[in-house]
Amino acid sequence: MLCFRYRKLLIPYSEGGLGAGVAARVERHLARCAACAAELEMIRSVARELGTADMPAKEPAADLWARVSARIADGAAHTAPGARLHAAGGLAAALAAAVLVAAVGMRLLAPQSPPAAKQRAIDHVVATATAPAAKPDKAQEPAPKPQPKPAPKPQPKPEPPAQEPRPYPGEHGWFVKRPVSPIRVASEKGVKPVIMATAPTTVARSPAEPAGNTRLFSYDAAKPEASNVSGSLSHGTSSDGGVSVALGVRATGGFSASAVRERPAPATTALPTTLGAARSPDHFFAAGDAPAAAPAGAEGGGLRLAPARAATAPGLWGDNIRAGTGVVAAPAATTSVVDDLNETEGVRTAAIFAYP
Amino acid sequence: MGRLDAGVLGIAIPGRGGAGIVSTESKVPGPLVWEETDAGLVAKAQDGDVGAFGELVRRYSRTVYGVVSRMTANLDDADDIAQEIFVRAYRSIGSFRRESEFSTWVYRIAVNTTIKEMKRIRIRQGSSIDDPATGLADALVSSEAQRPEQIAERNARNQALRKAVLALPEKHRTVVVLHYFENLACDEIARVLECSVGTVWSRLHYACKKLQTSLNCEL
Repeated sequence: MLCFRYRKLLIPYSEGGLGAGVAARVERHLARCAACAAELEMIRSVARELGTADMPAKEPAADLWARVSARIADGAAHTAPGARLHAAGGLAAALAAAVLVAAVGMRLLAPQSPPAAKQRAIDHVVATATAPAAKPDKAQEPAPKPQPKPAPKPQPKPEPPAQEPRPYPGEHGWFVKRPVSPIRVASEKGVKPVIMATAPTTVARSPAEPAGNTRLFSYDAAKPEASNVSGSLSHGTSSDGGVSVALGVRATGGFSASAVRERPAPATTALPTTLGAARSPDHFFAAGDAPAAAPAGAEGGGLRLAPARAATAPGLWGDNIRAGTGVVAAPAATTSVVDDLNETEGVRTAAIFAYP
Repeated sequence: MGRLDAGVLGIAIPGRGGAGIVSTESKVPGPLVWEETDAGLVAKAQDGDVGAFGELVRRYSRTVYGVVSRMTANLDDADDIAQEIFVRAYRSIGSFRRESEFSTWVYRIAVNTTIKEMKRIRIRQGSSIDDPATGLADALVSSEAQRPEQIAERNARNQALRKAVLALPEKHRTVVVLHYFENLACDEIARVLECSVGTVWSRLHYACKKLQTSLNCEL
């Protein structure tokens, strides 16, 4: 249900501070989620309690200005009330500062603090397009690290077997996962897309979400105008005569992801040049297309976060990354990154599509 | 009252808000008067006019006391901290670039100074000054004529609420005081605290949950 996405909006919702569209989505969610409805009632109850509370502030001291002006006049402004510490108090302050410094140091030296663990979970990148449908590669890639080739390690929260990647049932089941929620294409209602790459379902995991309910790009429903996700998928002939496909996705906040995969050449089909013309998965693997250079930093094994991402998009999950709609790929590419709003969950998911 | 000075003066009706042109503390509607704006007073204060700063102190003393006395439990500390806030404001007035409202700037200094001074005093005293049992609630309870049982019930409720507010972590207590007692909008609180409005929402949400739990346990 992704309740956490709605709960952060309950405060402004309770005060009428949301736009009509977002408020309507919150209302729809509240209509079917008793837990969030109870949360809203709790907020309203506390707000009523605080609003009717008799907690008056103290009246300003009559000699306030006299005391302030005296301190200004005698240059004693630096002598704060807190500066009237006894010697013991000063020692205690020094000790407290020392403890703080030590604590910070230990935190920095700690292998993984809880927030870091959360970010690692968010950053965790797994192989989306790593294997043909007959034998999907379930190996999970490690979270990005400064090292160029981080050693594989298990995900913090491995997916249960029931939510393992499902092979795309098409002939060239190259991308193996579908989004957890159905994705629709806003600009072409009624056209059911064939999902060729569903990076959003496989890259980021929010610890607050149910296992398997993962997406690459989250969407801030309160700020749809700030959405900006773009990407491209380029392909060319690989060294062994197959097809090399490079996938690049980037979004606001400096985030980017890229992957390069190769597979044997399938039957050649005329290469579509527009989104609407891309009607077959085969189009992805058409030979003879203009080769495109692999994205910098791309490497086999699945999507990887660009090294710069960690420093530039600290709030990847939830706040800084906002998906957009219908961003067109590079001209030579055969597909576009398209996302759509999942109306039932209020989350947009970026995905790469071809149309049946 | 400052002298007439076009550009820095605005028309205000004390006690009626003045449409944000000036800040007034008077509750009594008065005649139409010229009253110098905050910006004008700030400009003068930045030029060394202590009297102009004194007028700002007068205007914002209730604002500052509203924050301080609801974030601390000791009346004497509230006086000292309010004094410290204005002294610091005077020392820093030269760095105020007038990119935000003066009220926002004052709130920021009030919150930061209050938290800082509370920590210092806590260290000095070796215990929390946020002990809700220090009696401010009793001192602030209204004395309106009511039936004794009503007064007792309301006093108990107010005391429990104050205790619960004071028990909140500082950052959550701050947003509660600013939002529910000072009636600042979430986006204004975000400017005061220099954080995102989403952070303010999140802190308010957390604070509500904590308050609800505390009140349920208390009553």
